[in-house]
Amino acid sequence: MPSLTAGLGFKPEHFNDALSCSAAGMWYEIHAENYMVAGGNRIAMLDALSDRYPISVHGVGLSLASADEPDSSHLQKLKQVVEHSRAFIVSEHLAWNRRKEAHFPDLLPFPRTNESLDAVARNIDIAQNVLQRKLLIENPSLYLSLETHEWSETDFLTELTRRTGCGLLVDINNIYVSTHNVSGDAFDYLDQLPVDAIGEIHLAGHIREAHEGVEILIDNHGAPICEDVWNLYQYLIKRIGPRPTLIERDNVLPTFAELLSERDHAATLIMRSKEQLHVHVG
Amino acid sequence: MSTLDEFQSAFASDILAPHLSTISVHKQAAMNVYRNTIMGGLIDALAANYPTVVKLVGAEWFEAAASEYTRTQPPENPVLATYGTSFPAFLAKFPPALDLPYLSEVAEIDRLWMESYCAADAPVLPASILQGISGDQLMSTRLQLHPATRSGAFKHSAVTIWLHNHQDQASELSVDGSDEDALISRVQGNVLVTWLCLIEFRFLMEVQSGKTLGEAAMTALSINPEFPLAVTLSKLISAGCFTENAIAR
Repeated sequence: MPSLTAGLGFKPEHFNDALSCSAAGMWYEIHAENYMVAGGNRIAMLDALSDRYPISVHGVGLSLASADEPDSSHLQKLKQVVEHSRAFIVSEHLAWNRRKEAHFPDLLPFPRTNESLDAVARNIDIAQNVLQRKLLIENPSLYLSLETHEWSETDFLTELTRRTGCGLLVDINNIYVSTHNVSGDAFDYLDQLPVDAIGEIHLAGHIREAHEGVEILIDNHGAPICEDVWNLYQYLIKRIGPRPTLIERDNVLPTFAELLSERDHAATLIMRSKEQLHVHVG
Repeated sequence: MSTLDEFQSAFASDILAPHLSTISVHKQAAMNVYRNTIMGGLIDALAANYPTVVKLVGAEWFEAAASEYTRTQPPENPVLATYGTSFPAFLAKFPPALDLPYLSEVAEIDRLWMESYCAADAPVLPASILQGISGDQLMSTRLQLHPATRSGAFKHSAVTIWLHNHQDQASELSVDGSDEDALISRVQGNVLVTWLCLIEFRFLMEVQSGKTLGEAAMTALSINPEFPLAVTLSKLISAGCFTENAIAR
C-alpha cells in the first residue's frame, strides 16, 4: 500500500468528486452503520470507492462503554462491512449509546471507574475476537463533568491498549472541546498519550453555543477546523510522527474542493513532519 | 445492578424524559447538549426516511410529530436507514394528523421506497426475455420478484399525492380520495414508484404468489375481459419488477 497521508470522511453527495480525486496518499473513511444494508446504491458507491481507494471503517454504534456486552448481530454486520470494504483501519469510540432496546445516535459519557474499565476492556476483547483484528478506540467529546471518575481519560485509554492490544484514534477536536467543556489542558492531554498505540488522527470543526448561560463547545462536524486545533495537530505529529489523518465533516457540507483544501493542508503537514523525522534520524 | 448500569439507566431516562429533572446549571446545560444531539439526530433520520411527509406538512409540523414519536419509539439499533418503520402507523393515530387521512398512507409509500432502496441486489429480468419465446412457453412461466420490488394498495389518493410531490410541480393537485395501487421497484439503483390500475395490481399479486403467467392472466381476464397481458407485462418488466434468478417454466 502506498504511504497514506490525509483522508476525507466520505459523503455520498460528493461521490463523483471523491471517485475522481487523484491526490497522493488519499483515502476515505465511512461510517459503518450507513452501509449495513443489503444492497442498492449505498453498496454500489462503497464498491466503487473501495476499488480505488483504501477505506477506513469507523463504527458509531457498537456501544463499547455499555455495561452490557456488544450486540452480537450488530457486531456481525460490522464484520461484514469491514470485510466488504477491505478496511485498512477499523475504529470505534470510548462511549456508549445503547440502553436495553433503545439506541441513541450520540456518543455518551460514563464514569471512568475500575468497574467501567473492566466492562470496556471486556467489550473491546469481544469485538476484536469477532472482527479478528485490532480496533482503534477514539476519545469522545465531553460535555458533562462527572465527580465519580477514578481514572483520567488518557490513563483509561492507555490501560485499555495495555489490556486489550487495541490502538487509539486521537480526535484532536474532541480533546479541544472536552478540555474546554470539562477540564484539563489539551497539550498535556496529548503528552500523556501512548505514542505507539496511536494509529489514526481525526480533525474536525466545532461551534460555540450558550446553554443556560454556560458557553459550550459543540463537536458538530459542521465547521472548518480552527487554528487552535491545527496547532495541536502539528504539536502531536511533531512528537509522534505522521499518522493517517482524517478531515471529518458531516454537517453544513461545503464543496468537495473546500474539504480537499483542508485535507491537502493536513497532508502537507504530514509530509513536513516526515522530512523532520528523517532529519532527526539522519 | 452495577453502578455503570445504574448510571446508564438514569442517563437514558433523562434523555427520553419530556422535561429534565432539576439538576445543577452546568449539568443541565450539558444534558441539553446530549438531548439536542440525540433528538436532532433522530428527527433528521426520520425526515431522511420520510421526505414526502416532510414536504406535505412542512419542517415545523414534522418536527413536532417526530419529537413525540422518537421519544416513545427510539431506534432499536444504530442502522438509521431502517429507523421509523412504525412511523406510518403512528401518524394514522396522531391526533393532529386526523384531518390529513392521506398522510400515513403517503408515509407508507416513503417507507417502501426506503426498503426498496436498501434491498439486496440481483440481476433484473431484461425486456428481451419476451423475444423468441413461444406463447405456450410464456404462459407456463413463473416469474420471481426482484428483492427490491414492493407493491401496495393505498387509500385517499396517496399514490397520486406521492407522485405529485416528487415531480416538483407547482400546479394545484385535485384528488378524489379514491383507493390506488402502486409498484415500488428499482432500476440501476434508482427507486421508481409506478401507479398501477387495479387489474395490473391483481395480476402482479397473482404472479407474486407463484402462479404461472397464464394462470395470473386468467384471473385478470375474469375481472376484465380486455386485460392487456402484453402491455402489462412489458410495463412491469421495464420497471425492473422481476429478477432473472430462478425463472421457472
